Amino acid sequence: MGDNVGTSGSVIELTRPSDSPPRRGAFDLATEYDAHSRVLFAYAVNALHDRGAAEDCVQETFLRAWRSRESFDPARAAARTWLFAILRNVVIDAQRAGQRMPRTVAEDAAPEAAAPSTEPLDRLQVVEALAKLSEEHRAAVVAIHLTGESYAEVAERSGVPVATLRTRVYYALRALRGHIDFEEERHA
Amino acid sequence: MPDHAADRRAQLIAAAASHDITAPEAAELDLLRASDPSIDVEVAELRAAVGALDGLRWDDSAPSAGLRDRVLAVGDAPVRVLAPRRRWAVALGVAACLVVGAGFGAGALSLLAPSVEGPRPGQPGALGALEHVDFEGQPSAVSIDGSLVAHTWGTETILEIDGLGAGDSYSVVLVGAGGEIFDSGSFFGSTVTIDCRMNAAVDRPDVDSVEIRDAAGAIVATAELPAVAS
Repeated sequence: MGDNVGTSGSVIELTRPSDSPPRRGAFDLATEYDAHSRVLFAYAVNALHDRGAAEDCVQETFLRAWRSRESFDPARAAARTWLFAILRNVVIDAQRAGQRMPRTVAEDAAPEAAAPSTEPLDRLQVVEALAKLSEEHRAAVVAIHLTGESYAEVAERSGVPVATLRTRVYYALRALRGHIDFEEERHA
Repeated sequence: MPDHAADRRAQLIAAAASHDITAPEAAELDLLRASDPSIDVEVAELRAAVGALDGLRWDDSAPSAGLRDRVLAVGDAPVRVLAPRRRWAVALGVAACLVVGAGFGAGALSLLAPSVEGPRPGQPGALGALEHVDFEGQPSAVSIDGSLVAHTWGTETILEIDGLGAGDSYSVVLVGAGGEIFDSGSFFGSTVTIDCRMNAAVDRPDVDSVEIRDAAGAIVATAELPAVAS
């Protein structure tokens, strides 16, 4: 990894290493929640734009994982990969349910323009890719490409050198591109 | 050992992809590009990735502390009594009851109509499928048209009711095989047709019946459900 200009760590957040190889069916709720809840919630809340619904989705994901823990094989997939696979379906179901819910306020009658309550499926892939980035890589991408700040502005605000920010954005965008390509191939 | 050349290449490509590059940097990138055609490909690919972000907004907040307790309770629960708070359930149970008739014009109805096509009939217990249920025991003047939809997060009850006492309070509960009660929501009787959608935090395979109860808890109507595989 070339992100060595005043920074360290992977572009994609990794699960914590374990002292001993995990065995099939080994799934500790507290351990897995502490390791993955933040990134799972980031995906859910940015897919649904509703904190309550996002928390429900994360809870539902862990519930389903807990029920199926005997089938979880760490040798085949990391816990995060497995949890994301569950969460994707839960979020899609929640979106569909939300679309079926009656609207109680007309959008043009709302005090401000309502944001789309759901994201289309290809958009969910982008949200997932962003959620899986490390915090520092995601922060750089969000600042430069979502918020629209310049590298100089972010450097001034954060104290992180422009060169480091550019390196982070480079590897973050590559990871984003790689995730989208992978998902497109998976669904092809 | 740091690869400064690779780092510089990455920085210039990121700058170009972001259209945030100075003239001297652009000239430096042009020199690199002359001997490394892959740079143009990478810039194009990263710009495509940037394009995928267009219009996205990002909420970087953390989940509430209470969520951890709720999740850890999953492992402690001997039965599927979950979620001390289920916003969908609350939202559906409280807000998704319509009174169709006087006072609601066509405009109001169109606002309240589901934004997409609703669930289609299907096998009982099939996720997302509409399952018609028959209520029995209600007074002869009361008409109840009921359906269920199995979801991953619980079971949705859809009711269309005429004839219940106007202003009286009623509740809908789902009853498990062991008699467990799962609250689904409540509503008032009305002189016009009531159209309700409610959710309960229980999986459809774990529901044996649906009951509508009055304010005193007496059963007004019951729908027995066919068993479905979990």
